[in-house]
Amino acid sequence: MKTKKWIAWALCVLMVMSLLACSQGGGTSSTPESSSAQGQTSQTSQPEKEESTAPSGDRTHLSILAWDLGLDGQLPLGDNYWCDWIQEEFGEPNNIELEWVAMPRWEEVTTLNVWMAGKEAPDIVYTYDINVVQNYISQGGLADLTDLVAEYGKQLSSFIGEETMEYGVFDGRQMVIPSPRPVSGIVGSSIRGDWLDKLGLPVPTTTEEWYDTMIAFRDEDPGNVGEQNVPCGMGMQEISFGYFNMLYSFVDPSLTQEDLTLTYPFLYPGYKDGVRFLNQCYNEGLISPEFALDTDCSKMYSDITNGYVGFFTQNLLTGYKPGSYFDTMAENVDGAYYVACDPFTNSEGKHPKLSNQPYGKFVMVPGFSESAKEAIMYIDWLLVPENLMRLSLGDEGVHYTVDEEGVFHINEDYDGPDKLSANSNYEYRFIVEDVWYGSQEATFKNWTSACNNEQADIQFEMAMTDSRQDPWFFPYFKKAVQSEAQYATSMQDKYKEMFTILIMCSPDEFDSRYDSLVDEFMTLYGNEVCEERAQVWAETMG
Amino acid sequence: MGGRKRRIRYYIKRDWILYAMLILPLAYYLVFKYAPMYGVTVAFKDYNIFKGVMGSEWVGLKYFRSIFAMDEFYRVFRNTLMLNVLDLLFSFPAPIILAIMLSEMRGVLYKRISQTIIYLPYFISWVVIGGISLQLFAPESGLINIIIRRLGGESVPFLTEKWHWLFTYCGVGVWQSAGWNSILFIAAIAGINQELYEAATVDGAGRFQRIWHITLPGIRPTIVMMLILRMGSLVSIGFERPYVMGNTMVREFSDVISTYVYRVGLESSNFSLATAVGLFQSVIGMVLLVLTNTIANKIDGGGIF
Repeated sequence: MKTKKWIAWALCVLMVMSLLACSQGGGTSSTPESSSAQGQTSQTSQPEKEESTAPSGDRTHLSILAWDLGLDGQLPLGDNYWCDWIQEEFGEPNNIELEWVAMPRWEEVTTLNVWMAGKEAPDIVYTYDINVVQNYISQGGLADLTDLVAEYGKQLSSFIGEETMEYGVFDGRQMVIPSPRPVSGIVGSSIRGDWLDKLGLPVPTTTEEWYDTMIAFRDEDPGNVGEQNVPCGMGMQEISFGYFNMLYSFVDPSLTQEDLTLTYPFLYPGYKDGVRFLNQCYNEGLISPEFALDTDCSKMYSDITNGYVGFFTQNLLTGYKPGSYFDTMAENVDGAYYVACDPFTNSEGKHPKLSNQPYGKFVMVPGFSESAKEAIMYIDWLLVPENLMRLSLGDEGVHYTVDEEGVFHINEDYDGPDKLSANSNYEYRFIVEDVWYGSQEATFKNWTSACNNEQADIQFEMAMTDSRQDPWFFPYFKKAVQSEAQYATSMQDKYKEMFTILIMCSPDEFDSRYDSLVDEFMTLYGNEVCEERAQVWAETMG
Repeated sequence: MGGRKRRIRYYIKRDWILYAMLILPLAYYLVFKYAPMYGVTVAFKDYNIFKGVMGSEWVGLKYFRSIFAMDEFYRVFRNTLMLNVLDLLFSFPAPIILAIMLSEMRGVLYKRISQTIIYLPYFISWVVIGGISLQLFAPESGLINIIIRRLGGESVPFLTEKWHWLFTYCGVGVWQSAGWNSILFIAAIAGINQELYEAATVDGAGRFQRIWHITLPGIRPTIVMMLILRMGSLVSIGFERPYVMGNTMVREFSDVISTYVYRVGLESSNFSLATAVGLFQSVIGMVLLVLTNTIANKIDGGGIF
């Protein structure tokens, strides 16, 4: 009997301990395990045969990250014309074996962390997240590229430019290579032209006109869509994307970059009025009623394509591109079309709009990489204009034609063996944010001409004027802000929570909720982050 | 003492085949459950992902101190407890009731078919369930609210108001797990001696009296055991369900330890902090487990250990 009890005890302890281990795993490590497994499979699928050939001769091995965007028309990674071409043009002359490593785009940070921790990251990796970069630098995990860039990176400084390259310098060393982003415009608003025509209204140019137009859209229902009518479409996608322009038109225009970086947006002078205006619009039935649940904007896009939405703000130009959602809408609804619109006016009469930072991705070489030299050589090769242009567009006369005005006409139906991968070979031209048309001017010109719609030109013009960055959520510091790194994601989530609550609450409780939510935020993270930001700002920028 | 030792040797000699069979599962636990536990040390270290677990510096209780200084931690801890307690209240009795109802059913074919249908939700991923619940419960476009509005009522904010959301969260949980969890109770009910029921019927007991006086006492050990197991996991919560069911409107309630650990640990790369939270959660879980077991033992000796 005694033995039995003993065994029972031992088993119970075993079980409890395993429960402990399980719950531990469930919380912290199960996700990285699964994602690393995913990463590994895509990594080991092709490389193994390549590694077996590596020992013959002095062939070096260079692995490169390729984001999997999950788009239709992506070529099989590592097994297509373009990979072969790069191997032939760059790999063979330098005796380098190239390998492409896939990672789902939305696992940008999580999978990269797991790879870095396991020392299995490719030799060239990249991220948009500056906190990740600073974290890696402070932990000593990145290769110092200063000397390599000086020796092998002639194209780097001439193509990217000294000014942009400076964003990759930390403590005087070139630790990362920022990808250049020549077009700073990022968002554009559109309004239903056929609705305006029907009501005999002009395109609104001020906030008041916009508001009256929205009220008219609501009351007159020019699209005859009844209950589905959404005067102003909105979703909860990325932070500040769809509503930045509106909110910032209320903010005091005299605030400097420093003020905007060191104060929490909800505390900017005037910001409260902007949120109150949104709250009013929501309560009057002008905004998508379910925007808070629409975390990927899919509901908003489906409303747009069904012709229910009067006005919305989203990625610049995408709607005007051939085959995009405006075309789908035109098929669904007779005579429906959108025109560019830029209504939100600040106290100076300007139309502030969200803009990008001058840098895009941060391209890094992990410290444990044995091919740092080859990595820089490759990036340098990639930035040779002819190479970059061929990678992003293909060959003239085959993939595209150029007319006398210098406008590129892409042959969308081309289906040869050297067909481009989705989004203009995105995974192979990762070093530039936008398709490269051979020169800066050509890129600007073709940016809109692909849309073949004068509204696209108008929207592009609008996006490039009065644009300003969002320095609270996308700050740039030369030195890591510890509390920032710790709270960045939490602060974004908290912002979204505050934002939705304040827009959806009833107007009477708006003031009290605004103040209590801001107080709560400041005690949770705000005070600590603001204080440290101010300190780092004084140290590095002052 | 000597006699005891000899007896153990005797048992091993007699049942060595059984012991040999135990080696594989034991090895499994050692390799996959115990060996990774060295990673828990990360909670006491300044984890540097490039230096690895072994190479990082020890910092003692630094991360635990910073957890307990954070207001956010209390919120996620409170939410975890609240969601689990509510879940216990609703989804613990549900499978028992379901099992009793199923076992009282007469038609065998009907019973089998309904059992299978009731199990099915358990095999649907939470992501899919999240999508379904959005289609059903959304305030404007959700099917249920459309019906309510057509009948002249007002939209119910099942997903966008925090108190309603709690109800939705629990209800969906019951729908998903009740069928599966009832299997154990159905098996326990099947094990009750049929003669007891016959005798009770002869004595004039009605259906409810039989359920109350025979079925429920018959499955009491099973109920107590399941309850103890559930108590142990009262502070741990799965990641998918709150993450998928939650939205920014109800984050005040839907932000729990697992989503917090994901956000802080993986998205913001604070592995040490996240591990410390996870370890704390496990310790509380174990305390609760032992506590419940002690209480169960005190009441009628029905504890597991």
